[in-house]
Amino acid sequence: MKSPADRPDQEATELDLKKISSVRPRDYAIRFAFGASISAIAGVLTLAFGPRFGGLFLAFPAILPATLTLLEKKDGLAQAAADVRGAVIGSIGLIGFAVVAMSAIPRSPAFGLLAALVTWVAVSLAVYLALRVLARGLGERQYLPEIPTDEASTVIDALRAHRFTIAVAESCTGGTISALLTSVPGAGDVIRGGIVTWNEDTKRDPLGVDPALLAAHGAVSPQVAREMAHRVKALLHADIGFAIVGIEGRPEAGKPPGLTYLALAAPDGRTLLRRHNTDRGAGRNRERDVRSSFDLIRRSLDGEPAR
Amino acid sequence: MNPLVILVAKALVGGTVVCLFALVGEFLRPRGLAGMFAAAPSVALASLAVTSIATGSGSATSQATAMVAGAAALFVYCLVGIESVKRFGGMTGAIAAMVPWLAVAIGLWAVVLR
Repeated sequence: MKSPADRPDQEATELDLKKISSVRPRDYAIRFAFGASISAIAGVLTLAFGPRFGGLFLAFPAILPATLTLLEKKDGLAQAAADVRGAVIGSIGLIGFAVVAMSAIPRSPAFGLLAALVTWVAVSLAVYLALRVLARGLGERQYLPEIPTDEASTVIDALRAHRFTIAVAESCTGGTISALLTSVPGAGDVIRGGIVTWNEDTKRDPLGVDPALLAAHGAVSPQVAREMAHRVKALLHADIGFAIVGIEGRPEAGKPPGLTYLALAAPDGRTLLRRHNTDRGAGRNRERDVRSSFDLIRRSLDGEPAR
Repeated sequence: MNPLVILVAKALVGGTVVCLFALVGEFLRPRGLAGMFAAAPSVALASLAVTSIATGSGSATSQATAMVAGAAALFVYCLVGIESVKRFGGMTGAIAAMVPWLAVAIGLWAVVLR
């Protein structure tokens, strides 16, 4: 269970087309305005002080403040910071773009700009992949998954709508679920508290899991997850108890990485259990576990009468 | 060609290309890779294309030469921005990092380009 998450930048590369529904025309109007403004400003400076001064502003960071503000508002500060890390890579590619444009435009402007664009893509991707390989080689694994806090706010909203409180006992996620839930403003209305029980000792005390249960089934088992959910619910006097145990990184006690059990002790005493057993790497496993936890809590409230 | 028409053309094409690159960045994951598009050559592509068409390749080449210095300054801007955004938030952090951009860009212009 001692398996910190990978750096989020080491997640698999993909085009997330589900995002198309989240595209807001207003955001693009702002970006258009920033882009148009800096293009015009660079043009005015070229007219006033010559192309060797105006050209500086073709790489002026005018778009970033708009992009980062929109991103911070939508997905949180962590995503905005990750965006700047990516921009470092893009800016290295941009130096390549300018060098190729400078050399190739005199021969053919159209070919020169195309070659410069291809250079930007190639250099940026090469730097990105090289840093990714380097980070893996150095064993850099200390970063948490960057999950937008608005995903946690849907859980808080659902709990608030039902007037239920929740207590959380985490093992393999190391407090990430509690950290995200408590990052929602006003979450104190519904969160009683959370406990990170990183080993068997702390599952026994203070959480109160039966040592015989741990000995019989091991810490990563549906029985222990269930017990933890009910114990944390009672210990922190909450309406709902949630617990998660799993193995995110290296195999442990004969159990494979990626194996996770989620348990929810409902207000009426029922237990909801969920299991994952696919391994997608430590960082991706943790991201899946946190998102799945939010989903289980939300689903448990579907059809549940408000208190 | 009338300079005002060229400026309007640069603004319209620049704004459009910025949106196109932002759209690609929006769908890419992880965020570190998508962030690459925040430093895409959107304004440069638009301006250099319009300049080449309107006034020929001479001015575009000079602008591209100066852009090497601007891009080096952008690299410094982004390095500073990682910390300033975490510390001061998106808008303030991004604007604060413009000070080193201006220092590096104007410094390189004064020493190398002028």
